Parts: sequence; C-alpha cells; structure tokens
Amino acid sequence: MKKLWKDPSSAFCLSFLLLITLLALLAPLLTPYRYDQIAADPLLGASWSHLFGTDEIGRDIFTRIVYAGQVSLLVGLCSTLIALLFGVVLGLVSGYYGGALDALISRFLDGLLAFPSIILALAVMAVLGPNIYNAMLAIGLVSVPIFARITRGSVLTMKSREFVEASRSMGAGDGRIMFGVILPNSLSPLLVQFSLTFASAVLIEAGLSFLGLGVQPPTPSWGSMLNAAKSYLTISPLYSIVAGAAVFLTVLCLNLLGDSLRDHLDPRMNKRR
Amino acid sequence: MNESLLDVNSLTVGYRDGSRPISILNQVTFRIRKGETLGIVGESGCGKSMTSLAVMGLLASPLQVQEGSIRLEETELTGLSAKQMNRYRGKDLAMIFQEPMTSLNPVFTIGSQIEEALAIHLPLSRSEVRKRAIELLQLVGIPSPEKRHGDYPHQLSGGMRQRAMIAIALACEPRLLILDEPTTALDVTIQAQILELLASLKEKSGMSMMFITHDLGVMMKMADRVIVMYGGRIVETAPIAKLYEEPLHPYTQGLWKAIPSADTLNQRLYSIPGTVPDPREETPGCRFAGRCPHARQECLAAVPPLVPMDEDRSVACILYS
Amino acid sequence: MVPMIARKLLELVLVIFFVTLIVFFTFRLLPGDPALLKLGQDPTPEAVAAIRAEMGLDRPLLSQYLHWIGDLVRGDFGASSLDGKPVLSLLAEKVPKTLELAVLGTLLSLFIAIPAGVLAAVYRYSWVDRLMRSVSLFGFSVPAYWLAILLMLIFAYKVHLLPAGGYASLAENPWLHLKGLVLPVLTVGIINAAQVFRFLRSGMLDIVNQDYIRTARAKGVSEALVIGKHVARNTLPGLVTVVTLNFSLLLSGMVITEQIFAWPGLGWLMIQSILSRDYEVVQGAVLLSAVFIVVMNLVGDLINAMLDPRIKYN
Repeated sequence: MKKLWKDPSSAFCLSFLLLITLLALLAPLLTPYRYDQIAADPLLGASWSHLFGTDEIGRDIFTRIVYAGQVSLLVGLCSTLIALLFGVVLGLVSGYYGGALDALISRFLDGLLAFPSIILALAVMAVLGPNIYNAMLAIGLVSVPIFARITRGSVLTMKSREFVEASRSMGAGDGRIMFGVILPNSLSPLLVQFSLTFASAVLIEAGLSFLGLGVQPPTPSWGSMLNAAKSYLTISPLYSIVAGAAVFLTVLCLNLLGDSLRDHLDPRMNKRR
Repeated sequence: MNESLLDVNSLTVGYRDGSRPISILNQVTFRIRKGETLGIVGESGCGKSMTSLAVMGLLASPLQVQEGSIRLEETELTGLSAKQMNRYRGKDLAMIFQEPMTSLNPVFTIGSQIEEALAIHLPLSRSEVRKRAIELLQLVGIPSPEKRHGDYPHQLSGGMRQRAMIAIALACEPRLLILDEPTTALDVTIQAQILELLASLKEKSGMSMMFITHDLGVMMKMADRVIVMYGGRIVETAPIAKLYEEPLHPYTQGLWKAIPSADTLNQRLYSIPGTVPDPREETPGCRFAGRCPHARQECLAAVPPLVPMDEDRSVACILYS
Repeated sequence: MVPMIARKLLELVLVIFFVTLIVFFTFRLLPGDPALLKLGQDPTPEAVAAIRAEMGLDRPLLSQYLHWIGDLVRGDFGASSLDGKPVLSLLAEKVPKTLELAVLGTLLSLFIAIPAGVLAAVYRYSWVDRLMRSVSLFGFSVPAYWLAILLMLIFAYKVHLLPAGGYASLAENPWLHLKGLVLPVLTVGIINAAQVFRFLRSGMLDIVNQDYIRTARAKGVSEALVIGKHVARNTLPGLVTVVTLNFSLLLSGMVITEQIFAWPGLGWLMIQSILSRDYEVVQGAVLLSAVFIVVMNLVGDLINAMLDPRIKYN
C-alpha cells in the first residue's frame, strides 16, 4: 500500500478516489442545496453560487453531481461485492471438487459470459424493474464469471501445493481448506480484479441510468444527468461535460489503480523493472 | 593457422543506473584464431553469455558496450549500426543457443527458417535456396530431410530441433560459430551425438568456434584453448591440456575439483563455497577473494591483472605475480 | 484438426444450452409475472388466468422450457405484443444495421490500434510508448455515452459537419447514410481500439523477448522484418482472439451508441422494446446477441486453429 503512494500515477488515482468518496459522503455539508431543490432559473452557466450551473429545471448541478456520486459509488461497490461473493464461491467449488460439477459450473459461466454485459444487465433490469437494488443485482450478476474464473484458476494451481496437502493431512475439512487456506492465498489477483470490476460496474450503472433503466428520478445519477444534458448540448455544454467527466475520471482512476496494483502484486512484473 | 579471426580487446559491457555506469563485463581481452575452438567456462552469471551476445551485437537494451573493441579480421564491430551489423550476423558470425525448445519460431516450418538465413545473405534463386536447405538438413543428420523441411518445430524432438538450429547457423558457412551451452538442455545420449556432429562439421568446414559451457567434460572434447571467467573478468586462459594438467587460478582449481569422477564417487560432491558476487557491488580487489581458500589481505587492494605465464597461458592472481 | 472442431462444436452446443437456460429463467422465474407485465396495471383475475393459459405459464417449468426450445428451433421466437409481428423478422430487419456498425467499428479500431501497437512495441518504454499508453487509457475508461456526446457536440453542433443522428437507407440516400455512419462508427471504433491496442502492446512485448526472436536477429534479419514478420506472425492468433472476444464489448457499447445516434439497430430495438414492455422482443434480442457472441468465439478459435501449426497438426 505504501508503494502505491510512491508511484505518482497511482497516488493521483488514490487521492482522486478519496476525494470523490469524501465529496459523496459529506455532500450535505458541502452544499447549501438539496439535490431535488429548484434553486434558480434553469440552465444557468457557471457562477459562484452554482459552481457548474443549473440543470433543465433549475437544480444545482454541483449538488446533484456529489449526491449522484453516493449512488454511483454505492451501486458500484455493492454490485462488485455481490459479484465477488458469488464468483469466489462458484470458483472455489468448481476448482476444488473438479469433475462433473466443475464442467457444469464452467459451462454455466461460459453461458453467462456470452451475454454482452450491458445487454444482460438491461434484460435483468427490464424484468425486475428499474431501481437501485435491482441495479446492484443486475450489474453484480454480469461480473460473476470473471471472479469465478480467477478463483478457479488459483484453486487449480494451489490444490496440489504442499501447504494444502499438509492441512488436509492434519484433518482440515473441505470448507476449511477452501476458505481458510486456498482463498487467503489467492487474494492478490482478486484484489486487482476488484478494482477493475468496480470501474466497469460504475460504467454500467451510469449506462443503465443513461438509458433510463437504472436509478430512477428524482434520485440523481451521473448517467441520467448525462442523458438529460444531452438534450441541451448547445445551450449548456458544461452540463454534459461535467456529468461525463465524473464517470470518466472515476472509471479511469479505478482502472489505473487496478493496473498499478497488478504491477505491484505480480512478482514477475517487479523483476522486470 | 596462427592468424586471428576475432580480436576482442578490453571489452567492457554494462548499463547505466541513473548516472552511475555499472559494468557486468570488465576489460575482457581474448582472440580466436582461424580454425580454432575457444572454450569459455565459468559459473552462470560470470559473463560468458554476455561476451557472446556482445560479439553478435545482440545485447538487449539497456546493456551496451561501454569500452573496448571487437574486431572480426579487419572490421571493427563495435559502433556498427544495426543495419551494418546485419550483414555480418548470420553470414560471418552465427550463433546457436541453449534452448532448442524455444529458439525456433513455432509458426514457421523448419525449412523456411533455414531458407530465411540463406535468402538474406546469398544471391540464390528460390529453387537453389530450397535445395541448399535440404542439403543442410542432411548435413546435420536429420533423417528424411525432404519431409522434415516442411515440418514445424513442435513436430521435432529436442535433439532434432538443435540439429535444425545448427543447420540455420551453418547456412551461410560462417567463419565464426558461437555456441552458448548448446547441449545443456539435452539428454546425455543426445548431447554426445550433437557434440560429435559439431566436431565433424568443424573438421569439414575449418571454421572457428567459440564454445560456451559450464561443463568441463564437454570442454575437454571440444576446445583447443579455454578462457575461464569469473565475475565478469577473465581469470585464466590456457590450452585445454595445460589447464587440465595444472590449473593455476584457485577458481579454476575449484572448478576441476567440482567435477564428479570415479574416485570421488563415494565422497560428497565438492562445490566452491559462496556465490557469484553482484556486479552492482563494487569491490576494489579480486572478485573471487571472498570465496578463495588462498585469499590474503593484498587480494582486496587491487584487481590482479592478467599476467602471461608462458607463451600461451595467462592468469590473473597475485599468487603468480 | 477434425476432432478439435468436433469438440469445439460440442462445447458450443453446451454453452448455447446454458444461454437458453439463463434467458428462460431470467424471463420466467424472476419476480414480475410475465402475464401481469403483459396486461399492465390492475387486471382482473380472469384476464390473468386466461393470459397465463395462453402463454403456457400454468404448465410445469420443464414442459414450458422444452416447448420454448422447440419453438426456437423451428424459428418461432414469439411475436411482438405491440403489433403481433414475428420477433424473428423484427430482429432480422435490425441485425444488418448493427452488424454494419460492428464491422466498420472493428475495422476502424484495427486501423488505429495496429500501427499504434507496433509503434509502442518498437519504441518500447520510450516517450512514444508512454504517450500511446496514456491515450489508450483514455479510450479504455471513457464511457461510450460520453464519448458519443462529445463527438456530437464537436462535429454536429460546433462544426455542423455531420448529422447528430438518424439513419438513412443506403439504397435511397447513400451520402446521408455514410454521413450518419461516421459518428457512431467513431464512437465504437475508438473504444474498441483502446482494448485492441492494450493487448497488442503487451502481446508484442511478450513476443519480442522470446528466444526465437533472438534467433531471427542472429540470422541477420532486419529489425523491420523481425517485427513485421516474426513478431507479427506470432501475435496474430492473440489478435484474432481479442477481436472476436471484443465483439461482446462492442455490442454492449452499441446498445448505447445506437440509442444516442438514433441508429435503428438491435440495441435500439431492445431499448424501445424494454420501454414499451415488449418482452418477447427483448428476450429474442438478448438470446440472439448471446448466441452471436458464442458463435464469434468459435469462429475465432477456428481461425486460430488454422493460424497456429501447433493446434493444426495435433
């Protein structure tokens, strides 16, 4: 972790993500407006009272951006956790027991992976109905296979290693070996993937909201703000630029962070430097 | 026979660590005569492979020649552009590497990989190139060469792949063939076959060889003269017979002692204590001093120069100065 | 090679089986009764029962599934609840428009990514490499909807060079058709290019360090040929895999791109159908795109089998 702070690009990413998180958490303290309060005339430009101007019905855009940050980060985090949970369990079981169960789970995951992510998430949202919890579920579902594959891969390489054999000979049960021995030793690739999946979750959430099938109004979301901004491109270009930049920078930083985590955690990469 | 083919003078190779130049190969000087096989021996990390790569101009960035010269007869090779160097690589200088399993391109046929070397350097027609490639396969003892010509590397065994590598290297009848541990990765029986093949090929062509190995037994079979390297420097050079009868440098003595033989079979295998020093740690004195049974205080003062003992042997050790 | 193809085909059938299962359960089992969804708000219980019987929802699940698969195999994807048109013909009308974007977007991305990847690999670890990597990171993280909007802002509203969206048929108005293509293809192509570039760079760097590349250099092969022949030929199978795998990402981006530029393809149809609760069409579109991806992956595997002698002769 200390090393990450020394590397300028990952230090920048960590700081930005921290800033976004703080802004989102402290939103009520940072702005005098509520996110659904009509505070001024619609589509005003930037000014000191409205940092990024106002939206199509006169709400403060800065306020809505920071509140939307709460939604985006929460949906991103929860859906990634959902994917991690199901992916790890499926991967552990399929790698550890092998055989027919492994084949079955692997083909199921292949099937899941065949769906383009937004299309699957859209289908689930369409059936479940658009709200924030269903969004977490739908986006989480999309990322289950990648976590499962990573976990399965490290189980397979780990299964025959001495320390696993040793704990088995000392009478540890299957569950104990899977969660107590194998899982803690495969954390680094999962951590890297967590960062990358978090990025794509934020991206998909904003995409769903952009299409009107994610978080529903009046709750603000970067995606739905961008969708609204699209209609006023000529009058208020700042609106769409700010809303898009929020998604872009968050996703960029999460991706960069994932990359540098990989560089720092992968011993092969260290040797090359 | 006494004419020089390759003259390497004060060759120093390394990289820059910030502003500090770090040398891995230091003041290496030797020559290879026409028709001679020069052996280079030493532990891994002693600089023997780097010497060969420097001669081929294949040092991978950030490594570079920092000082010294490499002359192939009248031509100075250091400082040549990549383009100029390509005229010598594969033509006058050829090299065979340690790993036959990974040294051939998996997506091209054996034949086309030999033909590539021919087509680059020789003004031959397509059919002549093909004919020559098949002759080469025959020359290196690959059975049914017509058929093997169209095979891909993964269809051949390790020994056959190394024969194919030899065919590539010999394609343009090089004047100097560099062999970097060519048999280390092979089974013992295959190893013997390949060594025999190399010896007979040399006999036929009269080319010079630079033979790198850590195996003194192999060296006995192949080399006329040997240089012993340690920590990026030459510590001793002598004809193989003299080196066998009377090794001078304590490191060479250690190397001989480390060979298992019939009368030491029941004893614990000797190995030189300690490990090769890190080139980044600068030591003023002899680099072997830390592992040397005869080390004295003076050893740490200055690097002992390579001193001629008689007309064809030199040693770098204060025991003999 | 024949047993390999047979094995791949068997896998394909298995994966498609799971794809149909996932689609079936998503649309039948998740909360939200299809009958209720179809009828809208406050239906009478009789109407619900009638529509459930009509849709076969009162039969056991297995029988429903088999029935559904049977229909699919016969080419019956159901009918739109809006106008009763067969789903298959609705999809068939949209697919070419989406494919047009997908293929052109892929070509554009290769056109950008291949030279960039080669440059980055040749001048590895130099400023050229760093610059290319930074640019690619932008493309890697930029949301499709934002990129589309930015492009629209610049080229349609600031410069008035291109239409902000819409579709004109190629036969009726070829010029307008082409102009309408530019922005959607750019959007899809740029994002895809970043992915392809990232692979190409790391893939080529991996290969540049292989022993057989050193062998080629030792033969006196020129640097241009080392990269253009030896490295390129060994990178090709990986490139094929990335391009075919990326079709999945491409389709994802396409849903949004088509929506923004009002390009009436498969993704656009899907969104319209979700908004008008036309679930049979949504289901058909989801199923079709998944099957398309599975088939594309198989195509990639088969191309690679021909490119890589190690697979071809085993």
